[in-house]
Amino acid sequence: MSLKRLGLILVLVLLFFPICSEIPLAGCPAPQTLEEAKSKLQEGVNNWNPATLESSRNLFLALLLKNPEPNGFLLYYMALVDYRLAAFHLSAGNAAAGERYVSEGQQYATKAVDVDPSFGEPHALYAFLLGLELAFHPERAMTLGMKSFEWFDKALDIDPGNPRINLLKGISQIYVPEAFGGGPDGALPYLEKSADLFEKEDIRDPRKPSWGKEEVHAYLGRVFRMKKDFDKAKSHLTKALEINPDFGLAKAELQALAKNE
Amino acid sequence: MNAKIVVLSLSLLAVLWPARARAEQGGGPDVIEGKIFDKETKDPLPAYILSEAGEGCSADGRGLFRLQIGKPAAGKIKLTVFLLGYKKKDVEAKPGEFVSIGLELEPLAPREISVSADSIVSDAPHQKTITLRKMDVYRLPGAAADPVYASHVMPGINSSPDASSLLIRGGGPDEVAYFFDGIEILHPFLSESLHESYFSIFDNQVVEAFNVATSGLHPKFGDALSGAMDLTAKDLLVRSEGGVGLSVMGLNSYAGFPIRGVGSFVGSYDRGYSDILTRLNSREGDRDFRTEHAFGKGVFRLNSSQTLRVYGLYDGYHYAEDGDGGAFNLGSKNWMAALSWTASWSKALVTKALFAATRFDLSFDQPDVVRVQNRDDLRQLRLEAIWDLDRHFLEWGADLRTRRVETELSEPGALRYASRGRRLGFHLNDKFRLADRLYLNAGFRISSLDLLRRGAAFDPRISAAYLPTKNDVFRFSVGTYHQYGDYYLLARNPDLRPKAAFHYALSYDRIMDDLELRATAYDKEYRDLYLNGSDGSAGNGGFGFARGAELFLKKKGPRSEIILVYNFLRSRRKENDLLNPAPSPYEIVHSATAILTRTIGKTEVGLRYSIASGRPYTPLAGREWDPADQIFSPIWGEPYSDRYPVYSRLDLTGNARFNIWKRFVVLYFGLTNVLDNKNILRYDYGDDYAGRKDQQSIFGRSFFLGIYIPFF
Repeated sequence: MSLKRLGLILVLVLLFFPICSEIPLAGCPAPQTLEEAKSKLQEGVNNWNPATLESSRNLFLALLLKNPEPNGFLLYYMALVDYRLAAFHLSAGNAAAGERYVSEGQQYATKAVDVDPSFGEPHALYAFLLGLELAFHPERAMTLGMKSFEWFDKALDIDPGNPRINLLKGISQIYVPEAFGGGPDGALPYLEKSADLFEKEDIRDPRKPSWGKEEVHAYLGRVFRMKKDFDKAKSHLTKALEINPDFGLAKAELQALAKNE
Repeated sequence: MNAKIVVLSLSLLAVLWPARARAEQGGGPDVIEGKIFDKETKDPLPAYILSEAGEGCSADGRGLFRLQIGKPAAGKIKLTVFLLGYKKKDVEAKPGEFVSIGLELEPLAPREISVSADSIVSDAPHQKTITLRKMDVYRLPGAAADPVYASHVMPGINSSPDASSLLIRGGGPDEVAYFFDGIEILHPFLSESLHESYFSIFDNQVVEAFNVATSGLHPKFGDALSGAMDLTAKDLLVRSEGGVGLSVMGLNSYAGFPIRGVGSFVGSYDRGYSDILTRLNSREGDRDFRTEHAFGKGVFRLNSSQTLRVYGLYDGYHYAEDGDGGAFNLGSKNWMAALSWTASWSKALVTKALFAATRFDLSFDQPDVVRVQNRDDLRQLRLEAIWDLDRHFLEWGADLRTRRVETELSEPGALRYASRGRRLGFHLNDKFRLADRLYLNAGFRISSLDLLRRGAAFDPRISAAYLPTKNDVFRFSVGTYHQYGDYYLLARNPDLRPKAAFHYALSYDRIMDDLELRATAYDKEYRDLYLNGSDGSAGNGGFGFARGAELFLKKKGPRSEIILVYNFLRSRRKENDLLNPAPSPYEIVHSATAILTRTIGKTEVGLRYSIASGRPYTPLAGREWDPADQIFSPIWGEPYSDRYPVYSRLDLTGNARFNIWKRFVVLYFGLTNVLDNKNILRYDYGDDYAGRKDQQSIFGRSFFLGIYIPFF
């Protein structure tokens, strides 16, 4: 291939290739089903990839727009994907994007609660997002913290046997100061209860949330690592990968565990 | 130019060509590109775009999007643009085109906006109005953790920090109505009718939120000429909480917990003594007071749509003085018991029935001089309904209140008199969205009192809020208000009409995350005020006005907050014994407060400076000897023609949070009246009117210390 031809090809490619840093990702294909969107979300969580998470968000948004009536499940999934994106951007140090997803996620969660007040999981998501909001407003720690506690309690009051509510509460407790009943010891009962509840859970309705079974073991692994009980930590992380061999968080926790050991 | 250079130049051109420029020219035939922005602020929006064929994408943080079209079309393609909080918008675009799309904010539901310029203390999302947080009641210097004191910094309230009672826009303290969880409270202060009122009966530990209305009062609040304070107690709890505090003033404690399958309970108990505070601040121990407070609220969920609430409240206050002027004792007791039933007939329709009984006992005992006992019994039945129709927020209700007042004088001589009256009221209010940015609040109240021969009083009220931008609100309110006043006077004069006030208020709010500003101008015209006749009867010949302006500014930073408040007021009244208009005794022409709070690590410090021009008083022009009674009688000067000296006070408060044995603990402290200013409450002249004695505020320089251990 001559240099001239190579140059021309390069020019053509550069001219027509979407420039991802300037323009957002290319249009997503038309969403087929809720399962497709859920599957894309799980893929994004597995790989902890913001682009995949964004794609799943677009799929949920398309479904939301196509539904003329407010749909509690879709609003809930929007809050869920915003929670994931907020967590990603916060951990990546991108505060502006994190704050945007926290704010939108809170709005979707409260709308889901409005549509169906007996649906416990959006209450828990809202509680969790209130906790994330603390990162932007530390001066409101007391108010936001108490409000988060209250919303978690509402969620547990509505659906005490829900493994995902217990999981979110457990994850949140890890980061709550010990003086307020948090830390690894405060988180452990919720996470262990969540793991038990996941064993009994049998979701048949594809609209219903079904995520989290591997995640609870990943977080149990983290909590036992924090408590320096490395055997238990390893056991839970192995279990997480048995449930979902692609689960990135469990892999990362195993690496962290290896360093600790 | 050889080929190499051409290729390299083209490559560089392609790489460096601003993508934005390309985007603005439009993409290829299978792409639609564009920018989405807030139509009002021009800020970019990360909205979602969906084509009619189902292709979708999100705009990035700069509002730019690129939508790939699966099947290129020759004509225009319909796009739907969506972002939560904004109106969904449909646009058409040709493939290859670059489109600019402005989105408009979704209008707020009427229930989410305060149309009548209330000031709110709550942790709930604000209603585009001046808001303080619940913690501010503890943090504000000079607020003594009392919700009523804390409300003094809100715009339109002219009270000095030395008295609890609210002086709203030049109105008297008795022109304000107080409601606690919808229950009308006639005596909200511990030490009412001594010299001033100190501390309210509302324990901040159990208060969830409150708002103060200074104009555009909701028609459910009747019998008030100047304002209404509406407090809400904590309700259905889903988690246990509580705390115990010890301070130089005594004990305060609070517990709230859910009762599984039943509901929840909220209760508090406080005891206060002035002894330690007095000694700590090296004062003479000739003035002592004791307080006791207990509150309980049980919430019982009968089923998913019906809730029963049971209330009990007790407040006791005892003050003893053994000074030069002789000994005296003052005591007051406040009881309240109530029961309410709330039913949600649908998500939009809620009704509430409430029955409450309150009793207020006040005794004043100055041995060998005077001994008086007052009792005020109230029974009230209130029926209220709320119907949320999204664009309309309808509220209506009826209230029946019976009140019995009794006074017993046992020294000098025995005398007993009593009066009883039944008040009936009905109200209707509709808060609705007239247009996307224009909200109206229209309502009325009809009330009657059986002590009077005249018919019912009719109070129409209307307020409007216009939001030219999402951060700016103009409000206007006009309304009529009636108040009945003293039952003894009404019983003697059944031909009286209730006192009336007409409010006109115009305000501008700028409400942002880090800034809250309000500027207000108002006019309150009093009519039918009671005027004493020469024969002991009273008529409705009194009148007056209160006109003024207010400015409130709150600026929030990451670690500090500044509040600045300024009130200007002119007020004259012809009322009671004043046969000619004179300055109102509540006319504080200028008052200003500046508050600075700063957080340093886990410590918070607050500084507050308040300054106010002196209130009017009637000077003593001389005295004359009354040979019949063998006493000196005063000769008073022009009514309210002189003024007390300027009032000023500097307060400092702070708190430090730390952990002891994994337990969260708050240590709080305060220094009231740091500069020890000798603020004058009033002048006393003694029995012979020979000389004037300054009665200073009890708030001399005093140190305060306490510890609070919350339980979660």
